[in-house]
Amino acid sequence: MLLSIKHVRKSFGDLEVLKDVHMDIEKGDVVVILGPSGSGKTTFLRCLNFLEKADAGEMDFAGMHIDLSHPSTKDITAVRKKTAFVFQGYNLFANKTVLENVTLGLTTGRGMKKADAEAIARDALQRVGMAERMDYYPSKLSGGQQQRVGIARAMAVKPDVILFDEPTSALDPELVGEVLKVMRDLAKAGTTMIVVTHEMKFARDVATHVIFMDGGVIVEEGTSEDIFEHPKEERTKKFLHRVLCHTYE
Amino acid sequence: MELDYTFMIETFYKVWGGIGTTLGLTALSLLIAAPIAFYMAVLRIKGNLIGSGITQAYISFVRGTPIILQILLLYSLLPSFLNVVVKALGSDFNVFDSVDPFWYAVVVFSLNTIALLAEVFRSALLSIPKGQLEAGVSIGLSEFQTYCKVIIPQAMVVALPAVCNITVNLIKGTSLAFLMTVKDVLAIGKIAASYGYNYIESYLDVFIVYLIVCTVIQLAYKFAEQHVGAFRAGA
Repeated sequence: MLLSIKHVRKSFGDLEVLKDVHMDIEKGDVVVILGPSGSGKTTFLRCLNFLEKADAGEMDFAGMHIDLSHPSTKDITAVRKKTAFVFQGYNLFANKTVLENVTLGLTTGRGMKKADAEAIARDALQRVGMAERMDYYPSKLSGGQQQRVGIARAMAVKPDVILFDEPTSALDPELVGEVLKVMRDLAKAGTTMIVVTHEMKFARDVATHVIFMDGGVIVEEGTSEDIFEHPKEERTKKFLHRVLCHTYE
Repeated sequence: MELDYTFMIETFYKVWGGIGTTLGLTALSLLIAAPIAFYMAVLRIKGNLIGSGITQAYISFVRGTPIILQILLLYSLLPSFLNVVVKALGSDFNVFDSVDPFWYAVVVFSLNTIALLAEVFRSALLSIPKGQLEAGVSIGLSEFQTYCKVIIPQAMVVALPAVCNITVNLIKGTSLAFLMTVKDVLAIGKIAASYGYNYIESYLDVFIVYLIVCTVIQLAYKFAEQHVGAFRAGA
């Protein structure tokens, strides 16, 4: 087991957004988390690398056992060095070029030599098709290009798992494809990924494991065939019907 | 009205000689104020209750009183205070004769600039989106590293126009240092004029000197902003 997480709870004020959520991941898994907005999927993802602090829960990851309600600074740093995050809003470093965005986690974060970091960054940018734009600042790139750099930045630090938080939700429709293609390639190359998304086709084609969340709980989980072809729970069926048939009543 | 051009040109060079004092006072005050102001801004953002309270009280004290009053008050207070300290230490150093009033001026203008810069730095740091910090820590940088490499460089670019304003106002404000018998540009002009009552010529000289200096400073800031702000969309 690469990562195992249990009994995660999280409230914002009186609103309980996560009620006893769990997840187990093997190396090479592509876990897709689906669910209506407000179901807690993004919060859950953010709890995994402590961008959000959970109120309760346990994590077993890379030989560490961490109490999520009282993580030590050392644990937080260790988890963050072994994971990477792709944001809905890209969050590229605005004052750094494309190349610097990718090398920063290697040089400053991990003390790697600049030349070595640049070699890794070039390779990562090549894989997302952004090698030609290495000296551009993020403000000069389209959303799709920025997100591909965001993915290269995450890949470059060679994390055990990459967390994707609705990576295509902020994109213009015609730019979604280029980002999804990069993610498909990553999945094919055996990268362990946890993806929160509304892209049903991507989930159906790429996911090894699908989790459907609603109201802060995992309603149903299984292979993509289990969830998409034979959903058992009423809430899952309704949700799939709504998003797959595009009937937004 | 006939201007005495010979006097005016002669005096111009004299007045121009005061620029070292004016710019020195400005630069020293800025250099002393910047790190302290930055620390205050961080205290306020971090919500450190005691630090934040003291900072806020200090800022409203400086903003709520005229600078001329601060100058007069500190110029009366500081030498006597220093004298007491020196005497208590058992030294026979004569504060009133040996300390150049330039240093009192540095203290006054630094104290004033700290308050102004602290607010500028605070708002500049707050203007950087939270996602930049999240992105930094998500790829394994510490918060401190993310601040140094990502957030502060961006915030400084945001702060530059306001810092330019503060600098230019400080240059002009240091003319009040003549109240402390500091011989800056304005003081030299006044003294030169008083020999033969050529006040108009002398003041025109001072006028031109300030105009040149402030224009150059503003151009320098504009150039700096274009240079360090090259990453922004509009640049």
